[in-house]
Amino acid sequence: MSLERNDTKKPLLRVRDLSFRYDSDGPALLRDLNLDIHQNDFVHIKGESGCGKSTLLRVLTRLADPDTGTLCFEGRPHTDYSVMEWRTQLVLVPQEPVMIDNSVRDNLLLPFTFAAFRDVTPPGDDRIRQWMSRFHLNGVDLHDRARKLSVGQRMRLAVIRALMVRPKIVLLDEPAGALDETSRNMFEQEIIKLRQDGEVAVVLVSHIPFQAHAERLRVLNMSAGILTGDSVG
Amino acid sequence: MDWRRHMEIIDIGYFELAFCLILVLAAGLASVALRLGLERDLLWGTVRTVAQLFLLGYVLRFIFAVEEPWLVLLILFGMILFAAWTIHGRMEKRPVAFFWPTLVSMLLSYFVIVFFATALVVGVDPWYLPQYVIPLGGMVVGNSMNAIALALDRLFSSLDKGRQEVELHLSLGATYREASRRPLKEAIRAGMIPTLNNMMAVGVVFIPGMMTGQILAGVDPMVAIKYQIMIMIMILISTMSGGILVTHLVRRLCFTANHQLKI
Repeated sequence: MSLERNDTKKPLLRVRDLSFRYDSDGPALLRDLNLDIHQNDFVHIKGESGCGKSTLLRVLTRLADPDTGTLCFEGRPHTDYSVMEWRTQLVLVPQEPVMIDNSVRDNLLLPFTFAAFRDVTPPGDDRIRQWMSRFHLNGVDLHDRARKLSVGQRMRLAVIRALMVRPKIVLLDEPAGALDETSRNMFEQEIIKLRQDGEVAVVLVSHIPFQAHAERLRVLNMSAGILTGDSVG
Repeated sequence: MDWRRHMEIIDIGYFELAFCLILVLAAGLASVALRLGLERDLLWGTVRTVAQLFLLGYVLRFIFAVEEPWLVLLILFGMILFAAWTIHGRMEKRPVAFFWPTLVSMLLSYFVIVFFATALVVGVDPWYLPQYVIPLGGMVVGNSMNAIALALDRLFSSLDKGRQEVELHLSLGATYREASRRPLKEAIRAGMIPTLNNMMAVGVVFIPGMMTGQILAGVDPMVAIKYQIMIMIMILISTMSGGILVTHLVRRLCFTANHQLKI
């Protein structure tokens, strides 16, 4: 089944015949996947745990190399980009909101300490506070130790950290997994708003359905390494 | 008081040395009486000690008599090779092939340091004089071997336990070097700590073996401490340079060319 959309516009990310296995003699975790992601897209990939969702995000962000298939970003194959360049355009927010053992500010500015961002001026405190208030983190101080915060707060920080890099696509791995019903709803609203602002395409994988109503949400199902069904709501 | 009064080395006669065996016999009897089951090990340990050291004695006599630079270099190389092999055998986890990087790091740092000390600090002439190069080389290799094993062990465990943090860095655009700064630092520090602790305790908590040997051989304690200070600094520098080199080389092997953690 083809998951290409009949958009006239060229996709931001084009994935063709993507296959992946961890061991050469192990089972295939991703099988002949095809996927297009457009600017301002909001894609929700649903599937049971172990179906290959996280692996897909790892391959898309090149934390793992596919065995076969092609990845094209803005019309150019992935081999045209340095890995670091690629990972600043497609940023992964892992399932576990990992924080370095430092302040909130140091955590949010972490990417700007890397050579890939040498020529970028890091956002100032005012800008950081704007981001934080947008994600309902007004009660958190920039000097607080990030690891002391709750898992929900850390997840928001992880999302902000990814967005401050200004990627074209942000990939969220089970972002609401550790949250209770109320926080999950609030978090989903924040994600929707993010997309409405048209700043970034969002790819979200989870085993639980997306509860909040989102316009033009594309829902894909994943099972045993195969992607099926592309409904645009 | 003149420190020189009793400073002539007294040779031990072979017959007198055999007296020590009476003590081994006593230890054997104790083992039988207390059913420790150590008799075989006591016997085998004693035989090996005597045989290995006699062999070493003859080898050293030969090397000292021949005074060939290639032989001295070959022996130093052999010691380092054996040390690298020992580290390889001792590691519980071997996620990457680290034998060659270990050997290269040890060869580079130890050769430079040993000849720096013998040729420049002590001023040995000729530069390869085996009486100096071999014992000093042996001390450097033996002491910093443990440090390198500790550093490698910590590097692997930090990368493994800190996997999430390393991959977080990578996913935000870090190079493998940037992503593994902390594990690398931890590994180098872990290798240095025993040497630094030794430097704090030397002369107060313990008298080092080499100094003991020199004093027994009739050397002025003030001369012996100068040698000891030099050897401590040699061990410190070889531990640090060997540790820095080996962790950098092995870290590279823990990542793919696409900056992915592969262990």
